[in-house]
Amino acid sequence: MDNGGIGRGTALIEARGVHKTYSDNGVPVEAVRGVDLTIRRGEFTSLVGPSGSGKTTLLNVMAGLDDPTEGEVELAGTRISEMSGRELSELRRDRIGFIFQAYNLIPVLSAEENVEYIMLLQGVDADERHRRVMEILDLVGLADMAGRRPSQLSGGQQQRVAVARAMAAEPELILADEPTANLDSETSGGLLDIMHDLNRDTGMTFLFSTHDEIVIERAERVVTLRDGRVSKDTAAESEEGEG
Amino acid sequence: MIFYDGTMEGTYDSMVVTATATWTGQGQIYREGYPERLESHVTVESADSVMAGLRREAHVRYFTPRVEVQGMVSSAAGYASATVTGVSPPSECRISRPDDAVTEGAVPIADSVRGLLIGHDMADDLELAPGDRAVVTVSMADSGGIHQEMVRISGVYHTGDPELDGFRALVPIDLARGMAGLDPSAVNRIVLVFDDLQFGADTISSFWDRYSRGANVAVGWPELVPQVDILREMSGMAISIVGLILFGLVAFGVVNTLFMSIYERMFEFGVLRAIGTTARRLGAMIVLESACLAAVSLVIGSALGLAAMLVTGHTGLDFTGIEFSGVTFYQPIYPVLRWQQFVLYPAGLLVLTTLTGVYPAVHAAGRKPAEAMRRSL
Repeated sequence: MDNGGIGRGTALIEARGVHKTYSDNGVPVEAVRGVDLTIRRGEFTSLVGPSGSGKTTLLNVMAGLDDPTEGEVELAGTRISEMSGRELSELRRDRIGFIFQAYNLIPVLSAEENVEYIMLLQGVDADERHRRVMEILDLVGLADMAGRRPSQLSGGQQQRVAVARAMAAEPELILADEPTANLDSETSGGLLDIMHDLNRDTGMTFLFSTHDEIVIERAERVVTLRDGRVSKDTAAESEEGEG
Repeated sequence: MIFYDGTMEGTYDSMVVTATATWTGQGQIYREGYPERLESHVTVESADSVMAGLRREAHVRYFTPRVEVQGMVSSAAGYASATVTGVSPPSECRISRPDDAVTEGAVPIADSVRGLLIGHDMADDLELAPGDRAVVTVSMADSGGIHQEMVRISGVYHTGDPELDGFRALVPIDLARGMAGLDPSAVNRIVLVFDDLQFGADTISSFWDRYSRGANVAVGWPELVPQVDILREMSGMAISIVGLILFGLVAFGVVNTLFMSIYERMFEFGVLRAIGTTARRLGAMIVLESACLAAVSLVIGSALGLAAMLVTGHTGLDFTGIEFSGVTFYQPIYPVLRWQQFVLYPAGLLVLTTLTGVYPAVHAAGRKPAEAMRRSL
């Protein structure tokens, strides 16, 4: 898969007029207020903004983890809101990878088993699973720690396992919610190198929500959210400049 | 539940053994209508040939003939109504074991002794002790006349059963026949003990038909001691009620534990859903988890139940001297192990726990992944 680059890839995921209001202890919170956003294939995009600006909520809605209150999301031309629960699960399993701020590995499983889990859901046979898992762990530099449980790994190593897990299904899109928030700058840099290499070599599309300057600096496109709305998008500025 | 069931079963068995071992026996043969009338002239038809037949029966371990005469025992201190029972000491001692119950003196072993064995309560009331003289007054079998006999107290027994200890006096059988004016072979009851207690409850055996011929009736212990069957019904009900309560508590506990566990792990479930686990698969995982929890509990619970049963099966539960439904326990209750206790109850619990796990599983699996992750503690 080639990296399409900003403005050159076809639209992979598109949010149109997305609103999301949820209840926090009975208090309605309007987290996203009419977001239009298109992420193209092969983009390496940062979604930035202050806390409470709606970054995580927007990621959740775009990934089908949550329903929008209003508006719609399309992944490669398919409306997510029209999918059944099972189809959504399959979509997340096969086409979208997730990386969470707190890693969220399954504590009772080893690094290898955590990565293998998604392939197990996909019904990949045992030999093939093992081969692919070891290949991915090698890619993130953890092949020699495959048997360790999350508690036996550092934060950076756990997040690399999380990256490996997100890659396991060879998804088109990886969504990462503040993936470097719990890591020091050196570890963050190493992790970003891995993801950047993946983006370059495989054409996987990355969308991060982040506060981290290092991530923002490395992103090809930066979308800024403020009060639930897109306040700035470097891709749009670039297109305007070109125009 | 296993221990409770074993104890109830043991109580039932102990009650049957107690009720049949002390006086009633495991079966009886008498002339039809005798138990209702208790008239000494209502005797077993062809008693000699009946007893000759019993000697050839493979299942009959012991039997003993009895003659019963309603009367009165008097002493200088007073009088007491009594069922004067003529027994054949050698065979009677194998069945109701009066020799074991004797606290003073001895069982009158021969007619020539003209001895009277009385219960502890009657001895107290009449201030009698072994060697004392007493007068037995009985009504004659056919004529209805009165017969009095001077006897010596040969012994005093104590069974703990108020009816036996207060109102029954034993004499050698020929002496009783003589007092009642009965034939030398007359018998009011033949009391039976089988090689297997359950044979007495086996109503389909041809034994009962063979000895329920002519005017005679042969009955087993369920008919002789109906309160034992009532106890069985009661214990069945008690087991059901206790079972319902225990199973209800278990169900409540499982739901509670699962809900606590689920709320603690809601974020984890959200993550699993986020990375592609279907709601159905997640639900199945939670149900399976509750089934595994139940399986581990079952192994531990069954082991504890077995240990409690083995210990109390060895030491017994001491209820001696306590009367229940007219039966006084004279030996400890030993809980009974049955395979059903280790199959039916655990299987029931496993099914219940698994089914109980369905509701929390549906609750957890039905949430949107993002909501589950927001709801985490």
